[in-house]
Amino acid sequence: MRIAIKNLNKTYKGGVRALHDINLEIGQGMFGLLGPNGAGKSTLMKILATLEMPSSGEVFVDGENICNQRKRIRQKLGYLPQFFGVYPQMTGYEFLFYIAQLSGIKRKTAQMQALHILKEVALDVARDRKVKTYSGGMLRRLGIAQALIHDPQMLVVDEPTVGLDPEERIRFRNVLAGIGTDKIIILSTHIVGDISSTCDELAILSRGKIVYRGTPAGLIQHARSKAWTVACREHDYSQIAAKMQIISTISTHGNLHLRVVGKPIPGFDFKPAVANLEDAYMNFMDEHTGERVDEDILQEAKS
Amino acid sequence: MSLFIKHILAVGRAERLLIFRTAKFWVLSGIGLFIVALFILGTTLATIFDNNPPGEFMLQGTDALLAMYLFSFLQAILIIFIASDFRKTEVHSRLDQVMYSRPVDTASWVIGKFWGVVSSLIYLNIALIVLASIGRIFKWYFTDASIGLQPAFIYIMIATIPAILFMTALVFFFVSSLRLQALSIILPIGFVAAILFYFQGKFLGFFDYACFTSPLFASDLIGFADLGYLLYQRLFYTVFALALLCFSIILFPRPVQNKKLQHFVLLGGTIFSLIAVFLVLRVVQMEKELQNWRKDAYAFQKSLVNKATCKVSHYDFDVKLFGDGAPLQATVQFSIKNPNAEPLAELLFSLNQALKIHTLKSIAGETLPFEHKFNVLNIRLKQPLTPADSIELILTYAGKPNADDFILDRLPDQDDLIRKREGPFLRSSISSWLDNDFVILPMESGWYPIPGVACGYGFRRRPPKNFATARITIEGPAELHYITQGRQISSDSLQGRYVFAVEKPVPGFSLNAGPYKKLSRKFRQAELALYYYPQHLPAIETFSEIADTCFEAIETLLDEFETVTGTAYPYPQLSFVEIPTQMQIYLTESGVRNTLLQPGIIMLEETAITGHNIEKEIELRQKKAKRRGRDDSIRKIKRDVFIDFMLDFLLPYKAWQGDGTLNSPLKNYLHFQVDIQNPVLHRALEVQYFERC
Repeated sequence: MRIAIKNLNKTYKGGVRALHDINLEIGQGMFGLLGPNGAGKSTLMKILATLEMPSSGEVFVDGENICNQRKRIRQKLGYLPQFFGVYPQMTGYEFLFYIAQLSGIKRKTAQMQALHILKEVALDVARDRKVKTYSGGMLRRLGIAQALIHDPQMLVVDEPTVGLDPEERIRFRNVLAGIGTDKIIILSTHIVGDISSTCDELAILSRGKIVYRGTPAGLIQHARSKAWTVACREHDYSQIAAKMQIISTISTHGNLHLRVVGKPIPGFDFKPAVANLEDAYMNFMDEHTGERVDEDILQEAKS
Repeated sequence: MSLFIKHILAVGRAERLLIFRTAKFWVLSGIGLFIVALFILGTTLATIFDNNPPGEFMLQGTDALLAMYLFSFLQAILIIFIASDFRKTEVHSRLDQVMYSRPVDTASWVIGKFWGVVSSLIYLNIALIVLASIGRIFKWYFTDASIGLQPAFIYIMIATIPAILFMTALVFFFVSSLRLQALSIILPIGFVAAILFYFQGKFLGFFDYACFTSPLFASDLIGFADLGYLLYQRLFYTVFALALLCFSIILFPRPVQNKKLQHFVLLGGTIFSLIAVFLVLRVVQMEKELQNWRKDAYAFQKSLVNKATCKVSHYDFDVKLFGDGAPLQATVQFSIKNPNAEPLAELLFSLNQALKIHTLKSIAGETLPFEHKFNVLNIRLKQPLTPADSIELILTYAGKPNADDFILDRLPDQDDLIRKREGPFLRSSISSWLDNDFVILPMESGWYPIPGVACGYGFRRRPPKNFATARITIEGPAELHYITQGRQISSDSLQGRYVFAVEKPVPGFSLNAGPYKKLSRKFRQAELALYYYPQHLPAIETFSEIADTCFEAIETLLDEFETVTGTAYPYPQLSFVEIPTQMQIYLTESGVRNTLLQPGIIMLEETAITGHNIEKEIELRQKKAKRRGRDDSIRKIKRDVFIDFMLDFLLPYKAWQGDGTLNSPLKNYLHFQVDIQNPVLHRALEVQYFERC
C-alpha cells in the first residue's frame, strides 16, 4: 500500500495558502510529519483524512484518488485529529461500539471489537465509565482506539501527544509502536521526540512546503559537528541566543548550561556534543528556513 | 439490511441515547409530562367524583386529545432545542472530524440524526399516551366511561408525527443552511409564535402544523368523522418535512462522499418540494372550488325562491343501505300536487348534488327530462301541471350525500355557524353521516327530494314546509336499529328489511341507523324511545326493576305538559337518538341554534348522555338522604335519578334561553307546526323553565 501526493495545493478562503505544491510518496510503516505550528501539517492531515478538498493536485491511496473515492478511502482510514473530543454522556464501550458500527462492522462483531480494542489500549477497566470522567491520557488512548477499531490500513494521527504527561506520552508511543508494520501510519507532530522514538521516515513541512524528506538518521547526519554544550553567565544568554539555536537551558548557582546548535561564536567554551534528532531538526530549520522552534516545545519533547 | 440503513439506525440509536442523557430533554419533557399528568389527574378526579361530569371528558378520545394538545405547546419548544443540537453535539465535543472521516454517507448521517430526534419524541408521546390511558382506565373503572386506545394512536399518527417530522426537519434545514444555532432556534420559535398568536385558524388553518386548532375531536360513535382536509394538510407537512430533510443533507457542511447519492437526494428534495407545492395548490383549489360552488349554488337557489313550487303529499321510499355500488340507493315514488293558481311547467326539488340520479319517470313509465344542478332538481314536465292537479313520479338515485354541499346559508363569513367551538374542542361540522355503522341523514342534508329550494329565503328564514305522509322501506344490515318518522309496520331481520309508515303528514323525513340499544315505552299513541350507544349508558340496567314506576312518572309529566300547552303530541313517536358530537348545529327560523331536531325525533349529541354518572348520582343521593335523616328507599332514589336523567332531555334547564337545548319535546311539539312567536309556545317555555327549577 502506498500514498502518493502530487502537486498538492490548498488555499483557504481569504487567500491563506496552507499547502504549496506538495509532492510526497509514503509507504508502509510509520511516517513522521514534522514542522512548527502553522506549517500546514493539520491541513495535509485533513486532506488525507478526506475532510478537506485540495485546491489543486491529487492524492492517491493505492492508485485511488481520494477526491473521487472518499467512501472507499474512509473504509481504509483511521483518523485521530489534533483536537479529539468525545460524547461526554457515553461510556467508553458505547462510544467505541458506535464508532465500530459507523465503520461498517456488523453489530455482534462491533461489540466484540469494541471490547477487544478497549483491552488493547488498557481501558477495559474503565469501559463502563462515562468518558467525561476519563483523564487526558485515557481520552487519547480512546482516540487511538476509535481510529483502530476497524483495523484500518492507513492511520493518520495528528499531534497525538500534545498536553500529555510523560508517562502517558510514553504509553501512547508504545501503543503506536505496537500497531503492525503492514499499515501506513502518518504521525504529524511538532514534538520531535514523538518522531525520534517511532518513525522510520519523516518529512519536514515549513510554511506549506516540504523542506526535508528522508530518514531521521539522515537528518541527524546533517547536524553532525553542529551540536554543542556551553556554560555561561545569565547575562551572556541573549548574546548566544542571537547567533545560535538554543536547544535546552539548565540553570545552576547563577550559571547556565546550554545545549545549542549552529556555528560557535568566539569568547565561549563550546564543547562538542553528539547530535540527536532534536538538534538536527533545530539546525535544519535554522539553516534552511530561518525558522526557530520554541525552546519550550523542545523541553516538552525531551521530557 | 443495507449498510445505508444500518448506518441510519446506528446514528439514530446513538442520537437517541445522547438525547435521553441530556438534562435539557428531561427538564423540558418533565415539565410537559407533569402538567399533563396534573391535568389528567384533575379531570379523572372530577369525572369520578362529579355526578354530572362534562360529557366531553367521558368520550374515549378526549384524554389523549387533551394530553396531546397540552403537550404540543411544550413539544414545539422541545423539538427546537433538541433538533438544533444536531450538528453542535459533534462540533462542541470536537468529534466532527472523527465522525465525518467515517465511511458513512452524509445522507445516512443526517437521516440518522433526524431519526434519533424524531424517535425520542415519539417515545415521549407514547409515554404521554400511556399517562392518558392510565387516567382513562381509572375513569372506566370508576364511572363506566368508554375505553379505547384507537383515538390515541390516531392522534399520534395524524397530529403528532407530522408535527414532529416537520419541525425537526425545519430546524435541521436551518442548522445546515445557516450554521448559526441561535438563528436556528429563533426562527422556528418565531414561526410557532406566529401560528399561535396570528395565523391560528387563518388561511384554512394551513399553518397550524401542530394541530393547535384542528378538528380532532373523536366521537365514540363514528371516530374522527371527515378528516379529508386535515389529512391533506398533514400530508403536506410530512412531504415538506422530507423535502427539508433532503435539502439539509445537500447543505450539510461535509465534503461529498457519494456523488450519486447526493444527486439522488437532490432529486428527492425537488420531487418532495413539488409534491408539497402541489398539495398546497390542491387544497387552495379545493377550498376555492367548494366556496365558489356554495356561493354559486346559493345565488342560484336564491334566484328560484320566488318561483312557484309544488307540494308532495306522499312519498314511497325504497331505501337500500350499503348495497353494492353506493352506500345509499333509493327509489322514491312521490305524489306531486300543484297548489298554485297557475300551471307548473317545471317542478323544483332540493336534492343533494352528490346523489346521482339514475332514472326519473312518470308512473306511466315515461322518462322525464331534468336538470340536477346546485342541489336543485328541476323536472321539466311535457305537459304543465294544472292547478290542483297531481302527478306521480318515480325517482331512482344513489350515492353518498356530500355534507359540504348542503346548508348553503353557512358561507365562510358566517364563521360562527360553521365551527362549533374553537381550540382543541373544535368538532368539525358534518351535516350528515353514512358509514357501515352509522347513518345520520337529517332532512337538511337533502337525502330525498324536497319541494322548493333549500336556501336563499333571507336571514334565518327557512323554506316553506311540505307536509307529507310516507311509506319507508329500508333494506340494510340486520344488526342496526333504524329510526325514521314512521311507525314500524313490519320487519324482517333475516332479510334485513324494515317498513315504516308515516300516516299523519310530517314536514320532513330523516333517517338514522346505528348499533344502538333501545329503551322505549308507549305513551298514549306515541312511542317514547331512547336510542343510545351501549357503552354510554351501561348503568341503565340499574333501573330495570323500577322501570314501570319511572315511566309512569314521566308520563305524568308529559300529561301535565299537554295540559299546560293545550297541544297534544302530534307524532307517532318521540325518539331521542344519540348522534356524534361532530354533527352540525342547524339554524332554525327562531334564530336559536343547536337544533338537532327532526319531526318526532330529537338528535342528542353524545355528550348529553355521557355527561351523566348515574351510579355516582345514586350514591350521592343516598348519602344526602342519610345526612338529612331521611330514610329514602333505594327504589325512590333510583326513580328520582332516572326522572332527572330523562328530564335533562325532556325538559332541559336552558330551553327558555334558547342556548343549546331546543331538544325538548315541547319544541318538538311545536317546532314544525307553529311559529316560534306563538303565544302558547312562549308560555310553555316559561312553564317548562319554572317546572324544572
